[in-house]
Amino acid sequence: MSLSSASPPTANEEESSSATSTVFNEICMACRIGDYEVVDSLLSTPNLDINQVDEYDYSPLILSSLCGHYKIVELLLQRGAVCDRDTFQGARCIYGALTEEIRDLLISFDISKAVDISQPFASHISSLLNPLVSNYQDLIIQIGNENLSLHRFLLSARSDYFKSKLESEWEELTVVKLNEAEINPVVFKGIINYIYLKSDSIGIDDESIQDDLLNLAIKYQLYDLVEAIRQVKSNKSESISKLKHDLSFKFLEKARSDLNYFLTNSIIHGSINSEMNLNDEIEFEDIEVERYLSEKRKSILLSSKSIPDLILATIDISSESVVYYPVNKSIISRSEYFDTMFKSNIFKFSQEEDLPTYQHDTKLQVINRPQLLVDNLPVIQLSLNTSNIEISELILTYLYHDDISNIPLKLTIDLLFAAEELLLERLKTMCAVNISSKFNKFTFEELEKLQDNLDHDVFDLIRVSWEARCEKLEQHITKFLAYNLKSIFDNTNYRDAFSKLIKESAERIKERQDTDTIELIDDIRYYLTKKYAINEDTESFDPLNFSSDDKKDNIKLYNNALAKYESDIEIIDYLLQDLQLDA
Amino acid sequence: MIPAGRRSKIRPPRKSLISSSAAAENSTTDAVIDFDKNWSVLANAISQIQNKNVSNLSYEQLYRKAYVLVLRKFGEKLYNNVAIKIQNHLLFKRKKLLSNLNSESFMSSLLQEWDEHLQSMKFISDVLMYLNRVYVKENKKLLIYDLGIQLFKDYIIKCNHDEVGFKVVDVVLDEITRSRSGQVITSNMYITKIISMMELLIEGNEMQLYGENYYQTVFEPKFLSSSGTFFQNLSQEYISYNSGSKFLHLTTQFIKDEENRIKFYLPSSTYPKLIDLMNNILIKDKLDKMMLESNQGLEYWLKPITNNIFDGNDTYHFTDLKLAYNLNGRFDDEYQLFRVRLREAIVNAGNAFPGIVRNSIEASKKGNSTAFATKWIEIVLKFREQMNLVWKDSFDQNPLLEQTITFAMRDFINGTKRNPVNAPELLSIYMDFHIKQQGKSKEMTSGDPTQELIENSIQFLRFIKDKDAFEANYANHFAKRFLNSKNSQNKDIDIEEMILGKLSEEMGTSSLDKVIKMNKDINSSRDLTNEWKKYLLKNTKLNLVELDLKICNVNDWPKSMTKDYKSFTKSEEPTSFKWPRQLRSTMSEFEEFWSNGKKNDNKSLYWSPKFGSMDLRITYPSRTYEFNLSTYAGIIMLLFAPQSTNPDGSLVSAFKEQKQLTYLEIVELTGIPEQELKRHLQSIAVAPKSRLLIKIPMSKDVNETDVFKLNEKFKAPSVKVKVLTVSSATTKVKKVSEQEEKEEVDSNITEGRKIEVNAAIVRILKSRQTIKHNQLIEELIKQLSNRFQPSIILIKQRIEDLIEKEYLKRDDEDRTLYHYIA
Repeated sequence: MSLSSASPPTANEEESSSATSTVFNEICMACRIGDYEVVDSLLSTPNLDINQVDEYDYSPLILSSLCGHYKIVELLLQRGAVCDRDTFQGARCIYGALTEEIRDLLISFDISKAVDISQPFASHISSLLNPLVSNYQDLIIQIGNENLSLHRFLLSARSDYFKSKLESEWEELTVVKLNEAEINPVVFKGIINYIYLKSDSIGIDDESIQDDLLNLAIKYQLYDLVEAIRQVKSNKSESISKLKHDLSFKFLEKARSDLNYFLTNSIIHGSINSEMNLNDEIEFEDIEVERYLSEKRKSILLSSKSIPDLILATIDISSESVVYYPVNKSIISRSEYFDTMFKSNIFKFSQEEDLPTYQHDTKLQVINRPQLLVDNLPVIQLSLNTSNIEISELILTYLYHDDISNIPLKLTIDLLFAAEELLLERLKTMCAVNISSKFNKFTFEELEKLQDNLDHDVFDLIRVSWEARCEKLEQHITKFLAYNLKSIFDNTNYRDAFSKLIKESAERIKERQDTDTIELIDDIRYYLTKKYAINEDTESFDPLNFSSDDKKDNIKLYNNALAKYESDIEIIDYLLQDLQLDA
Repeated sequence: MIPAGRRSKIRPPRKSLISSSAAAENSTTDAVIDFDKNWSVLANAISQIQNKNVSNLSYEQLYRKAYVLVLRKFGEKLYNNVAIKIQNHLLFKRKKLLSNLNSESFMSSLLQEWDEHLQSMKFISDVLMYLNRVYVKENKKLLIYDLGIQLFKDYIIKCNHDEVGFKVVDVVLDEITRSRSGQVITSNMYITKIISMMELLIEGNEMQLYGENYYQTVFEPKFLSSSGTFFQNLSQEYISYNSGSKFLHLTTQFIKDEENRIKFYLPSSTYPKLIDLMNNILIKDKLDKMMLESNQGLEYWLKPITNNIFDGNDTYHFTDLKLAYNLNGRFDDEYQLFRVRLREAIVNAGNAFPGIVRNSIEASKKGNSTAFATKWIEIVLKFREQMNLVWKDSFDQNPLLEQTITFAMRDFINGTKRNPVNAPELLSIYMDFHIKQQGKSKEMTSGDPTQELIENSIQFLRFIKDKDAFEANYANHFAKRFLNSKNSQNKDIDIEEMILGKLSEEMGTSSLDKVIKMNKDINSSRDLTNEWKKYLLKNTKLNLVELDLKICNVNDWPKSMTKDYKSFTKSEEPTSFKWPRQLRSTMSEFEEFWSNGKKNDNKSLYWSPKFGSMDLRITYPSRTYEFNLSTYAGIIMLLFAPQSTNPDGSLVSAFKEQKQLTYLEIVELTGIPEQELKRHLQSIAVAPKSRLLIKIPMSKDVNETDVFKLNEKFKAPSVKVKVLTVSSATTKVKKVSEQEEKEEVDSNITEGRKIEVNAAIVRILKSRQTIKHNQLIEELIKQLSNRFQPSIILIKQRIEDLIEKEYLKRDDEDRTLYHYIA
């Protein structure tokens, strides 16, 4: 995703932009020759986009990966260089990697690998605009012949203009009529498409409405849209489709930051914390969160700035209190779990009152927000695996805008379980990447650090991956086991724990079908061949890693590796024999 | 997260990891308690859902119970418990269901149970979403919702040997039977719903579905068998009326109703099966019988067509024919049955035509082949027209049916052994009659009658199998028309040319070779006449008799006419034919002209008085007439021309000469063969309108003692008189000559066929070199069928003939194999 070339420098920016372009060229050179210090120092240059490409379409990440500078690749990835396998640049980066290590490193940072395309943020937001599906719309804006059914919270989050309107004149209205004479319906729809991230349908390059769109964007205080229209208008040379593509990426980023702001300021800031005042011990599972929210506090939540139609509750064990977040169903339903819940009749029947609705015409029906009562606001516990406010907020962050930049290691496993419970596959992958990218050397030292950082040792992490059904994590941790087989075997505690794990793996298989394989063992064997670069079929050495005029050394190295490989295989066989297993 | 130091009052959720690793052994009982506690909540919720009391259930609580149980590896136990719970509920419902005695209330309660069950299964499946997503998926079990459907099938429908299932099937079948019998039923909606329910009940077990559903395994077979019985009874009833028309109408109506009915109820997969069954029982087995044997069958439906040809005014049965055609088409898109029967019926109708024609011809014209030919062909053509109407109206203009009609007509037109009709000859006679008819009509008619004649003839010709026979007959008629015509009028020639052109188009020029050659003679005769006239003018030889020449190449003209061409040469034999002196100078002048003609080297010229005619101007006391008479008659009349001259040199009037000639004298003077002479004497002395001579004594027959003289009292209404030649004096003579002619035509046909077969055999062998006997015959029939139907005997003879002539030889080993000899 390159952005630099997309924005033609305006006159007063020229100087600084040429300065950054010089810096970028220096970085590219440093990535070629492998000068770690220079890259490190230049990365702190303000306004520098490290994901841009040079005249040959090379990004610094591709260059360093191609030239085999592992440390620089790692540095770039940590500083935000993106390797997304689903893009051309990302795929090129991975395939061009000079060594296996660099490739593994890149893959461990690859976010998109297991991305569930049904969940991405932008498509969810734009799908909310479908007027034929009930997505908890609570406002109709009527302009000319157009009846747009919309979400108050989203308008409020995206535009300060709408926010103030919704907090004043429009607050008690379900249908807002705009004057067709003042506002062109087509232009207004363009604005709505911008807000709902239907970036292709805004009409920024439609000259017939461009000026009106610009004026309306100014009125609604949508400054990035204003900027974008000006760019398009002044655009002479560049291909419009490329420019539009870059702009739609910018719009997406803006929407993310809008929703992040909304989440922080309207939802988290507006949340209410209730002491439980417990007298007796109580099972976590038996807590009914609704009991600890008074009518009065609930009505405060109802009128919260986030315009909520749902309250999510989190029990904080340490403070023995419940935190209530005023949230929006249309966003929360990104989780299939919640979506099914909202759509299930049981959920509807268990609402004490039917939701007040407003039937506009035969097709259009929205929630009648002004008549919404406290009783119409369900209170639901966010997750059974969440006894921590931080985790709850990470989940909300994920649901509201996808962008979890930093998952604390300590919370990763709990977040993983919560994600599994809420059927958020993509969040699970993010958790796995969080671990795999931070523990990617597969040394014994690193292995021992797992316990401290994640509260789970290497063996429990395998179990976690089984229970949370997270294959990415399972593979990564299995590789840890394979690469440290000797050390584990030499430590009695580890050896016992390992044996136990093998046994469990064997039982897991038996539960499902009667075959004689043990998944864990098969995987470890696979990673052993990788580690020693043994080709399983011919048992020969991969010659690519060695120069050909070094034949003697080759053979020596080969014999060496083969010996180590065989000793590791012996360890496994020994353990299996000990457990009286056959695989 | 529990901070160190202070212990929270909330007991945190047990991590299942611990139970499986470190603390696994210490408390399996704990786990059981866990299960029981969570399950009891879920079981209770399921009961409430099934009792439609869900208002105080909490979705997230229930979801989490299931989630916790699955996470703690109780997935299987939970799954089985849910199944048993649902199963018990269904067994209880089943009992209540069976207490319904009334069939309609039984249907409605079953459907109500089904709807409620699906509804509650949807709830249960929502609640057990995590079980579905994890346990069910990993263990490849049925989804909870599908499990619910399976259980409904096993514990409601199929329980106790399909008690409920069979009962509902019977009830539905009863309702359908009632509806078929014409009763109005109120359970239509129930039937549709029950059928779609049965379609959802898929055979299988808890692990897997097999694809076949209850509808397919149970309902459909029962439905088809009960439908079969119903259709059998129904069709027996329809047949019992013994009326084809009624059968058609009733059956068509029932099928239409049934189609609407089953479209409404049944899934599309059954539709073709039922249609097949219905077609088989109601139509296929019965249609033939009804067309052939019942009153008002196929013959009855076609009858008006024949009737209307003979001036009847019958109502057509187009609708019946259409229904019968459509019914046949329901089970056979080639309409084979109907086509076979239609062909038979048409052949039968057609075979009756000759009899009808013979009866309709007036007694006086009995035995007149021309009358028969024209009438018969007209009827056949009318019949074809009528059948064309039927085809358009009743048979959807289906080309297959058009072919059938054509074949059937060809069958009866070409005749069978039992119904011999010589169609080629009859067509030729028909054409001859109409060509002459049109030649006679004075005014130049607009082209229409000619066009019509040509069209009709060509149309009819297409039905004729032995085209070569037609050609032979046509050639014969053509020759006669030319030789007997008074003079070659342009109009006649136009018609002949047009017809010849059309025929060539239709049959190819090579097969009309003979006629074309004759036509060439005709054209050159006309040219020669013109040249002759120019020659006379040029040489100022004006005192000669005017000649209109008809010069024929003997080889190209029918033998029956040319066989005695040499017998009229001038010879000194006393009995031989003598050309009258008045003609002789002209004849010799022409002979000189002829032999000088460059084209006529190596050709001899013979004069034949048998054909042609003569124009004579005779002055009777009443007035002067212009007669046109046959050559023989003219020669006889010339005997009475005045021979002496007055003193002034002018001719004495014939009437003053009072010339009388006896029959024998005439014989001697002319040398005309006896039979011909008698016939022509009758024409000019007996026939009342053209009594140019007086015969003494006056009687019909001519005897040797008769005396002839000019008739002074002759009178005719107009100046121009055409003397018609009396047909052969005795029928016996006529018979003989006709017989001769016929034999000649037939032998022409036979000879022609021999040549054609020979040519075809050589052609085939030349390209194949070697061929099996059977293959050869097959190929021959294929090649020749366009011209005639070669008989196997003929083919065998021709093969032998060619072997003899060493065109081919038999294989030494395999006698059925022929080789071509180059």
